[in-house]
Amino acid sequence: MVGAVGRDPRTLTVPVALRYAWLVPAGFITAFLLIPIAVLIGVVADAATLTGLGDIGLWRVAGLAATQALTSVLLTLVIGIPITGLLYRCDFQGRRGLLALATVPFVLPTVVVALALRTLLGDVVPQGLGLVLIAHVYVNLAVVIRIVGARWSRVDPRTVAVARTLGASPLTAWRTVTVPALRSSIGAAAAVVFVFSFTSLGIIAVAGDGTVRTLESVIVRRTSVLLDFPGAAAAAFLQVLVVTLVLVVTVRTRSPRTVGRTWNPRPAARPRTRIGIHASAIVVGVMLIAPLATMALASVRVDGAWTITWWPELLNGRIGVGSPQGALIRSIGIAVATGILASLIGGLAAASALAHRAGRTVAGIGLLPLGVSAATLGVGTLLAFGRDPVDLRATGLLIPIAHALVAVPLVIAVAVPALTETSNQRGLVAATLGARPLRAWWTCYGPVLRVVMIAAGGLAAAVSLGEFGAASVLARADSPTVPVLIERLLGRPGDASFGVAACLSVVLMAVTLVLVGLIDRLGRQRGVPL
Amino acid sequence: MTISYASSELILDNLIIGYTAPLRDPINVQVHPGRILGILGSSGCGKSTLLSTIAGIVPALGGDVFLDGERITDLRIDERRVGLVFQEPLLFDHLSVADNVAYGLRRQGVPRSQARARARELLTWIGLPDFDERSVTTLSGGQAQRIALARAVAPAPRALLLDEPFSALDAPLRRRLALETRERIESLGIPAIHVTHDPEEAALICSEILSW
Repeated sequence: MVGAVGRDPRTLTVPVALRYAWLVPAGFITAFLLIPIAVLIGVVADAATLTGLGDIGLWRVAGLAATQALTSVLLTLVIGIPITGLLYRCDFQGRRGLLALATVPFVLPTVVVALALRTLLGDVVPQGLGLVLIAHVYVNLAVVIRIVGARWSRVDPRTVAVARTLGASPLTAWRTVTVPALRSSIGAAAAVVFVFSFTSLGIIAVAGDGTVRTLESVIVRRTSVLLDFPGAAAAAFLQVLVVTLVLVVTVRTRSPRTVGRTWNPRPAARPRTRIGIHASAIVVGVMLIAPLATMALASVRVDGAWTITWWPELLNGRIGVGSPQGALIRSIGIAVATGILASLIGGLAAASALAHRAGRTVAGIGLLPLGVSAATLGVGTLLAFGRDPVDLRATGLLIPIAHALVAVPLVIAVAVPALTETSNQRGLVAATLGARPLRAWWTCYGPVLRVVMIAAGGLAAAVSLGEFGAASVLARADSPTVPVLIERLLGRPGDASFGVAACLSVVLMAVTLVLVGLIDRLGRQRGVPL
Repeated sequence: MTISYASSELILDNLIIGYTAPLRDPINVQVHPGRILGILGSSGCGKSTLLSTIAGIVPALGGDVFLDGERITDLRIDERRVGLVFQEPLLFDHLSVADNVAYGLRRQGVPRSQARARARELLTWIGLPDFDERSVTTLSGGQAQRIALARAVAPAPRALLLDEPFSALDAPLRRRLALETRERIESLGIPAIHVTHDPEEAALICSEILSW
């Protein structure tokens, strides 16, 4: 009999089943990520595509997209950092609610967010670069708030107090003490915002005016409209190069991870400051909720009157560009498949990472899709599995596979920390009571893994519901997903198209919020950080 | 090496401390230049809140703080010129030892070269003369706490507040630093308040002791 306690008495024996579990995620990642990327590189290496890389127009799009992304980064930081300070350094009633609200735009489908802002600001800011920048700031605020806030909450507030006693004004103390402490997290947030804005697609499609483009939109246009696969591969290759460069520079300049206690914010001592904090919180809350509320209102108002005219259209299916009911059923089916697939693959990768060096490598490789845009994944998948000898187009599996690839890094990012932060002592106790290795391992990590996989599956489903890039490339003309249908509807004139698009957006918004709310609740109930 | 500052007197006049409600009865205290008042009490009795109130971090709920005859109750933290040393050194990680010590002088507009020269003098004063270019992350607990003291006194504060600055150190080092600090504050000729829960430390460092 194999003992459940490892050679080192502080560790558990790795169960046999888990020793080889890494083969499953490794096989999935090899088949559906590495092979498509290899095929993509093969297409790019082709002489015709290399010529495509010399296309000056492509480089012009890359330059404009980089300028747009840098502007988005700057604006998001300028607006996001003060809000982060408000949420992480000041205590006030409703702080946690506002923090949750600030995360909402990030989890919502980008086409929904773009449509919400277009509906709210359309009269003031017409479709175009301005609206695209506003939408990027709105979506990416959560990135700055979460990344910078996590670091800010570990900066001892007394350090700032010391600087003040040494003669620093509030602004000088912020510039000379707080900013240096936050520098690496600001850099990391800036890199993420840059990547999201540089590879933006849903927002470009709905908030843009046709002149604002990214390489991602070029990839989709060349694949879906022009059927220029070598041209799409060249754009995808260039985009991967830029994103990789940004991520490599960010990782190389990153400071060591800061550990230490978290400092909870305290209520402001001075009444005047308290009033200022509450006023700022109300402004931020209104700013965050207004677009979403406008979107919901737009689905029940036509020409200034209340109506539910457009809602029955979701079921009647009389819209020319596709059946809303069909799209809803299809999107929910894909989301369920994605949730199951991503939580299995990601969960196995995370569990293997705990047990095995090969597992850690696989979990690391599983994070790669973070640096590869959804449309690039879509093109790679289409090139590898959308034609002979392996043609999966008729199976309906291409979109769930591409969505699972998009979601697996999120599952790994949630599951690995939750498992590594779990003490193995419960397993050791089980081992001393006679449990075999698998039972001892499951006693220790099973409860956490179960919660994490359910939550991660829900997260993957939420991502799938709103995913636009890969679906744009992979969805057949007669079977769009909901985000693709929304974008098509918005391309048609008439109140009916807009009304149905608004209703579909409200449905997506509601389902996403319910899913994320349930995940958050599950994590809090079970005491698992998600 | 002798470093001295202008003499001043610290007076707490019916001072009421607390965040929203008073923590204690009004406080009346007078600390003369070069003297160290010890406040001895258990956790939660308001010792740290008192120091935060004198420094201006927490507003007074009532009463006044006078320093060198000037009412400083409503002044901003950075206008009070009151040095503060916490239990942890709280050095600025991104600055060298010399730049940490020079931080307050730089805020007074002293040119960097002069501020660093003054910082080197203070490093000699605390017995760490060759530490100016060191990274603060390489220091021991005792070294870091001495540098925190040098940083607090560098911009010539009119009073010094010590919030259990030695409690995180081991007993022999705590004793040695307490004696050193007492000598240095006496030589500076400024009033100081030292709060602690350790009677032995209070007896070592303080000229007089108030038990809370």
